[in-house]
Amino acid sequence: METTAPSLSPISPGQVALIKNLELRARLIVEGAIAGLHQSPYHGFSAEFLEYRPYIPGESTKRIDWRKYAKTDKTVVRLFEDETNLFATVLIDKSASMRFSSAANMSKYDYARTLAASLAMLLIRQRDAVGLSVFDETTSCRIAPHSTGVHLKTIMETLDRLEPSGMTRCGAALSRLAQTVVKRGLCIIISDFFDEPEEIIQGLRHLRFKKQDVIVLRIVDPFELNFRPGSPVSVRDLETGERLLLDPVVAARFFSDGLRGHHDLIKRACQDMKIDCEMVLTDEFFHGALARVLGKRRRMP
Amino acid sequence: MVSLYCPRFLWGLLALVIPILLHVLGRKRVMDLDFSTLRFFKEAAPRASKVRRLKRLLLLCVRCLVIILAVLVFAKPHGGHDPFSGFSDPNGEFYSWVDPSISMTYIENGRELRQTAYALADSMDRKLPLAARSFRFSHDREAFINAGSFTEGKDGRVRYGPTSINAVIADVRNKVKKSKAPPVLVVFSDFKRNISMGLENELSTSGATFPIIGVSVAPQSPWNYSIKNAFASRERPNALAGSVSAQGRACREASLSAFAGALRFGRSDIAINANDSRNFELDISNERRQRSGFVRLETPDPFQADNVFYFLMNDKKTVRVLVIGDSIKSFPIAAALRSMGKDYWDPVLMRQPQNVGYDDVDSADCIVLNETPFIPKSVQPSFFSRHSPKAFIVSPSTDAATGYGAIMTVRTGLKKAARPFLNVMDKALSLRFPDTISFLWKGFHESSGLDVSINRWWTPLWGEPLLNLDNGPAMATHCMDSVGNSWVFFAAPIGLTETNDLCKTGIYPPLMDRLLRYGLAAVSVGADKWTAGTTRRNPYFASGKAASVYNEKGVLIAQWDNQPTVVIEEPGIYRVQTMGEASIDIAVNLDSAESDFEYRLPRAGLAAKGLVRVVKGGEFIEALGNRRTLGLDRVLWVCIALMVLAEALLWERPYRA
Repeated sequence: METTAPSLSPISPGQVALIKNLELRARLIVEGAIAGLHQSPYHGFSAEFLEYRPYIPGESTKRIDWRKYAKTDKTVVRLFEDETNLFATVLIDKSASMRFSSAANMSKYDYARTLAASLAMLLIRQRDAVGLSVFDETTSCRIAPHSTGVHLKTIMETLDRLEPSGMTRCGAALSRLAQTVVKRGLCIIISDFFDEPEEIIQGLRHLRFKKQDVIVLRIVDPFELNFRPGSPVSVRDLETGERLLLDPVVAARFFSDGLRGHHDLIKRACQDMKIDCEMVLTDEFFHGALARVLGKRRRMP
Repeated sequence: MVSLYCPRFLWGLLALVIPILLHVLGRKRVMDLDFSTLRFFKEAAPRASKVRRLKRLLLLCVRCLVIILAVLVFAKPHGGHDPFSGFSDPNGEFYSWVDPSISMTYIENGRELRQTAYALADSMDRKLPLAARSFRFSHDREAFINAGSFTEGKDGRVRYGPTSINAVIADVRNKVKKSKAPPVLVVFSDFKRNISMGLENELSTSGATFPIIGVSVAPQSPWNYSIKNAFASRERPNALAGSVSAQGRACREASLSAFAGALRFGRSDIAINANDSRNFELDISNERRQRSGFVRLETPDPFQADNVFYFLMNDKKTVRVLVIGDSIKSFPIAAALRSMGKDYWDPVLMRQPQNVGYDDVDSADCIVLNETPFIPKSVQPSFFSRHSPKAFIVSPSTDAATGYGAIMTVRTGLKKAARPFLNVMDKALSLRFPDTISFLWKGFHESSGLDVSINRWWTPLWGEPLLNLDNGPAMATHCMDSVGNSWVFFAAPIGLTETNDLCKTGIYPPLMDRLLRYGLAAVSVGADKWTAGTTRRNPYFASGKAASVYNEKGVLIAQWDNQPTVVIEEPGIYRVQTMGEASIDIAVNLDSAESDFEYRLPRAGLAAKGLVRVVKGGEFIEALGNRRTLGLDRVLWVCIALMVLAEALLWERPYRA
């Protein structure tokens, strides 16, 4: 189902930041820029009969098609399509590192939750079920996927309530999520991924094993990507409070090189696992970021 | 020990401020930053930051070193103890000065010393680096000229009279400021005492800013026979008196001849022991009509220039006496002299110590210091002119504080000896003549001194006793000082005094006359002495007269009119003709110092330590051959190149991802 592009112009992250209400933010983003761009990749599915399969002894008899048994004398089970198009879970990192923001930009967490809210709203509007998982070193909050408007409100309230704190344990959070999901679905992970890449990759592999489509959105502040301190810096880690005195040139070289290396490592692993991995800068327009995500989904089988 | 040729370039060290400022201003305040993560810094960044800080410090050090080395290159350091290091400078400038003194004509091994010196200078020029420039001092042009255009016959001519190296050193010192490379002055000389002292004085007063290499060509064991003096004797009118000395070697048999023009009119054989002198007398009774002549010593000694001595037959007739002291106390002295020979002691001037002028002292032949408490400093130098020695008669006061004060306050040139002290006795002493038959006391009666009563006297006195007091100590002594002055010291005042009655006795006038003549005889006072090559006062200065000076061949050599000083370059007899007056002859002789072969290598003062080195001729050539091939400046340039390389390696560009 194609929709026409709205007449509203895209709204910048700076303007979005002025709006305190997260739901309103999401609505503005979705209605203003995204609605006309989205096309559900799971279009055509409904609560309709799919096929028969032989009954396996010991299985519950509740789903045996007795009429078929009466006609053919074979015990078969009727299989139906899911009631919703998609079970999507948005994983959002709320560790203290996400609190970082350079001068004119939204903090990474603020950008991430706005993006998450927008995605949730977008998906629920097309009757997909959306869940939410918020993690730092533990999973702070887990909301199971549903597709109702009330559910969306719950998600919004949760995102609005939680503030960034704690350490990043992204790999562990992914593994925990993988252990809980039972259905095939979509996982959208929004984080800065400042965790051990091996653990992250392990978690992603776990999700893929659980037949989850995964989209990795790495939130990066432009200052991080182009870290150029003009003078010696005494850097304090937002997560641990640790402090280091660094030469500006050394700091720039090590962080830029380290960040690119870390990102490349995760990205290569994602490519191997057929996972979309996108770097999203906090000064990027939301509609652009959403478009890139949705564009990826459109190309997926 | 390293010294600098151009220390003024050390001001360039102020440029050190630039890298230090760059370093200080380049340091920025530490910025506090709350950041997402330190995971990418933890392992190596702190260490890298420390390394980078260290590199910045190293870079500062390297930049400072580059500046210091560059300054040093311009300041031109050199091995302080090796003036020969200048010979390794490919662009060096070398100034050579060959002593033009007449003493350099001393013949050793069949060659004059100056020829040896020029041969050494030629050897030096051949061993210089190709791009080096060599200059030699032309005594004809009084300036350094290119060694290539130097001609020994013209530019290297011998000069009579005292030689001074001070002007040469000053000339090279001026060139230090102009030349890029520090010049090296090479002095070829026999280093007689006057040259060494001149060098030492110059270095001690002005210091050395460039290396000076002295090359001594002094003979190994010098010997010489010379005529020290020759004059028509005043005491014996028909005799030509004089003295001959033998230095270093005995003169077994030599012929001494007197000439008037080409005519030989007297001859005598003479033998002298080594390091001794003999007086001689030649009979000139038949040649008294001659105006001048010369005496020649016929010996094969290596230095011939002092074997001829020019003299005048008719010397000055009168002796100018200057009595310095209180006029009343000094009056008996003047009166005694006038009474004894007005045609000989004329004029006898009396001056108060504070009124003595240069002209008084310079023109006097004999100076009597009578109870003089002090001598004005302005005239002290004229007491000790080597070229006009005088006779000094010293009459001390009986004041213990100032008795010999006048003598002790001037630079007497006398050898240090025990200072006299004043003796006071109640019993008066009389005079005692040592004999009555010697030349000095001939005619005096043995008892003629008994009338004298002397209560206070000084003892001991310097020199040889001439007259005694009756208890033994000397009443009068005689000695010569280093510049040739003749000194007669009295133990008691000889003027009007309360402490003795000498001037009231009858022996007083002849005693004074005899002792003053004795003092004068030692310096042959009366002859108007001229020394070749020595500047002296123009006798016609400010007189309104002009004179023409002719040599023996009748060639006009100079015009003397109103110039304050005049000089005659070569020994000989010269005729001075003034308009409307009779001509007079002057005898010009060699500086007697040139005949004294006292060689002494100069001792560089503290200021010049390390910059002056004196070697012998053979050592000089050997040292030139052994000079270092790698100059210190080249080492510095290599260091600068290394430092610049280090700078390039240490410098870090700003990080661009």
